[in-house]
This record gives sequence, C-alpha cells and structure tokens, in this order.
Amino acid sequence: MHAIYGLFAQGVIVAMIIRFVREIFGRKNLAPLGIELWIPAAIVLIVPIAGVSLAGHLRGLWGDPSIVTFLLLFLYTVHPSSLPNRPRLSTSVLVSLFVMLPLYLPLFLLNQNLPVDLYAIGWHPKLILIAIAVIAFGCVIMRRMEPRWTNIIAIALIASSTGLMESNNLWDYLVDPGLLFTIALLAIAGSITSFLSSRMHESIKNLSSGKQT
Amino acid sequence: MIGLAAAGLHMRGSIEPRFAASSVIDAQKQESASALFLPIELPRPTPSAHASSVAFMPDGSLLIAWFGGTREGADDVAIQMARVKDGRVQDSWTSLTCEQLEGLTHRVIRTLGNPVVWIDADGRVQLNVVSVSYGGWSGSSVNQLQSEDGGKNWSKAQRLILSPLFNLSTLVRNQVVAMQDGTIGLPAYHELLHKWGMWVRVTTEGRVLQCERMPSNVGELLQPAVVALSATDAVAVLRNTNSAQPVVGRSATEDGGQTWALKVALDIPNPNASISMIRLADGSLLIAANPLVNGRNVLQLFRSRDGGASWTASRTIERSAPGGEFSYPSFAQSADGIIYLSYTWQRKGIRLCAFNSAWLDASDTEKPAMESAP
Repeated sequence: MHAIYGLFAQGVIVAMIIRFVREIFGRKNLAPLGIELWIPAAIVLIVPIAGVSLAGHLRGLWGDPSIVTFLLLFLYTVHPSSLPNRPRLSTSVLVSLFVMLPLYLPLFLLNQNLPVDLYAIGWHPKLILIAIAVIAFGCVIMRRMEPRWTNIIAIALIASSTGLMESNNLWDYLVDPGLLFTIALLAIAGSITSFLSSRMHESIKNLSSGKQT
Repeated sequence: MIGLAAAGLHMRGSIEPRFAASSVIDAQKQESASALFLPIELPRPTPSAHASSVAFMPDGSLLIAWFGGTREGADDVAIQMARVKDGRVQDSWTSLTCEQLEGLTHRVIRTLGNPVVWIDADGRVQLNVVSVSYGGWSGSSVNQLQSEDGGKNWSKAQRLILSPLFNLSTLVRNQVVAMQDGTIGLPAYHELLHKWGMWVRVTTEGRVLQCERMPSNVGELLQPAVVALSATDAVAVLRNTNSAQPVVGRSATEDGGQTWALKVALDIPNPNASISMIRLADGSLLIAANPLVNGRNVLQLFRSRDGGASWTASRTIERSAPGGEFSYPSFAQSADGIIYLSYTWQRKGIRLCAFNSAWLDASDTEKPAMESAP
C-alpha cells in the first residue's frame, strides 16, 4: 500500500508540474481526460531506468509527499477551481513559521539537547489531535470554516489511521518540505491566472469601446 | 470529526517501556573452565568488507552479516551472510543486493551499508540495513526486513521514517536491545551537518513507536552501543567524531529509554571509530574498541564490573603498525557462555573469534590474540 501511494504520488507531481508550466504560458484548456497530463504521469510510473521506474527514482530523490500536499497537487491538477481558496504566499509563510520551522530547524541546530522534540510528538499525536480539534472549533465559532481545507485535513487524519504511508508519524501525513513549495506554486499559478484574466477583460473592454490595443 | 476520531482510535496507549534485561548468573556458580580462544575463518567473497553484525539463531548457530563489494559505497555492495556452528562455517551467501531492496521498497537504491541482524521472538531473522538512494551516507535511511528462512530471502521491507526532512541521514550500526513488550530498542544515529545518537523503539513489523535523541556535549557522538542493566536502566557508549576530545562518549537512561542523560566520558581514547558493547552472563560489561587517538590498528577489550562507570583494559585482539585497520566490532554471547567477536579486518574481510570469560581474566593484555597476517 505504501508503494502504491508513493509511486502514484510521483505521477501526480509530474502531472502538476506540467499543468503549472502550461498555466504559466496561458494554456489553461486541456484535451479530453487531460491526456497531456496523465500520459507523462503514466510514463513516469511505467518506464524503467536501470531497472527502476522513473517514479522509483523520484521517490529515492525526494520521498513521498504528505497526504495534504498530495491532495493539493491532485486537486490543482484535475480541477484547479476545486482547490480551497487559492492559498496566498502569506499562508505559506505562516505555515513555515508555525509548523515547519519548529519541525526542521532542530536538525540544523548545534545544541542537540532539545527541551521538546516536536516531530517526536507525531508518534503519539494526542496533542496534535487536540490542537486540530481546538483550531477547528475556533473556526466554527468564528464562522471561518473552509470546508475544503477541513476535508483535506480529515482525509489526512483518516489516511494516518490506515497506515497509507511508510511513516506512522502524524506529522508526515500533514506536512512535508514540499508543502511549502506546493503552496507557493499554487499562489503563483493563481496570480498568473488572475493577471491573465484581468488582461483579457481589459482587452475585451477596450475592443467593445472601440479603442485600439 | 470523523478524521479526528479515526486518528484518535488508531493511537496506541502509551505503555512505559521496560528493557528485557537478562538475569545475571552468579560468577561463583559458573563452572570453572580453562581459558579458551578460537579464531574462526570466514569466507571473503568480495574485495572489500566492513561493518559486521552477529546474532544467535534459534538452533544455536551464529549468524554473521556484513556489507561487501568492490569498495564501500560502490553500487555492487551487497549484504553478505555466513552461518557458523561448532566453530566452523556451515554456509555463506549473498543475502541482499541493491536490486533486491529496490524490488521490495519500490525506490532506487544506490548502495547498502551497516547491517544489524537480530532474531525476533518468533525465530525470524530481522535485518536493519542502511540504504542510500542519492548522495552519500549523509543521505541514507534505515530499512527493516524480515526473513522466514534464516536470511536467504526477504519477504518484507519497511523503511523507518525517523527524520521530518526527507528522512535524511538516519543510520544504524550496533545491536538491538529487546524490550519486555516484544518491541525492540534500535540504537541509531544522525550525521547530516551535526551528529547525534538516537534511541528508536520499533515493533518487529517496523512500526516506529518512539525516537529519542541522545544528548551530546563532549563532541559529536554517534553509533551508540546500548546494553540494558535492569528493566529501567541502560548504558550507551558512543563513537566520538570530535578530534579535540577523542574519548569514548557515554550516555544512560533510568526510565526505559524515554530520556537519555549525558554521563562522564570514558577514559578510553576513541579515534572516531565504532565501539561494541555486551553485558556478559556474569553481569559485567565488555567493550571492544580502538583505544587510540589516531588510527584503528589496535583492537582491544575493556571490562567494567560497575555498570560502565569504570573500565579496565583486558585482552588485545589485534595490533599492527599504523595504517592497519581492525574496526567495527560486534559481540554476541552463546547460552553456554562463549563470547563471539566479529570485526572488520583491514577492510578486506571479516574476522571472527570465540573466547570465554577465563581467557578474558588472563593477565596478558598486550600480546595480540590474533595473527596479523591474513
């Protein structure tokens, strides 16, 4: 099960990159079934290099993405408008400050005598689950609940209970180093889309008012 | 709510970890035996060999695992194994190649290293082995494999995820410690940028339950060798990479491995070399180390009768001119009290010797027990 998830996730990463590059060049429309995305993804899964599929090489290079990253990549690839409100760059900064830095920074610190090892909490994640419940409750009270984010987190939690990934640390289902890049790329893609559509609106407006562009 | 409930239900209740420390046999009750020392020749199927690990099989034979190939880090490195019974090699074989591990883990594997072999309560051979996909040892990770046929074939492989950043740089070297609840304490270490020892508790299926850092102030300590002294107490000795304070590091726990405290370093030099430690049937501790500031050309034993606080020099296993290498030792003691020691011999092969407690107690500590010639 670990391998199926890991290999399939590499295919989705490749499909996402192709979609992102297409979006940068303003090519939003896809052929039926999105074959220009999924054929390269299938090649990555099937074609071997030195006895190992390309997906196996990618797994060796950067590992498997967290479930949250995977779902964001998948949603962006198949149906960008189904994403939770396009994450902004400020979101990625917040995520890095509040979650990722405390997780990753100790790996670079000289002082190895940590008062609290945040990553180790993920093996007995009672505190993380309580924190998620408190944040969710706060969002409900403040009427700031974003159903799509809620669904993504819920799927990640359910996946952790099924042991879908190699890791049994809850953090690895929620965040990974690629999440920051993913959110940043989605923010950039969102900005490009907004910029292009505003340019298009402006052109149409100018044309309809008889001005030359 | 469903997600929280699912994740909450899946959580294991935290049971206080306890070591399955073996009981001590009163030294006076042990049968008096004459000194015994027996060198055992192992096959050398590859030009280079390193980092052996030993464990007793349910039938009483000794299983030895090491990595060998054209050189350390080469893509033809494989895990070699041999089985010794009654002082003779019964069988030897190539146990695990990079290609085989690729097939089991579905990811590219460039090289293998540092096998740690152990037998679980069901008699299965378990292997923790370091693998590298890209980069050097700093980019490595630890895998756990199971074999139902004595290490010939491997049916399961679980990659242990121990680091949040691409699982970079986790390695193993020394023997596991059995826990009362059937889980295993796996001494591990991290060596990307900074180095530290780790105590990892895993199930026989490779599920990580706990991972603690071992503190490190005297230098950058790694490759812990851990022995349990009681259900709650254990001591670790660690390789020291700090050339300014080149002595064997020491750490200890009093709560079943949940927390580790730095202890006064041993008065034994350490030239950035691996150490092995075992608790003998009489309760004393035995270390095999390279007691030099530079070089690994002396392999000597040291014994402690006070739980690792003080150590006295015991027999010398090998000695050569500078440039020689007798390193990466590994211990096991049989049910009849014979101690087996394997180690890297000049990076060309693995040597194995067997001796008893009476031989350790003999006074000649300087004369090497093994001939240096191959």
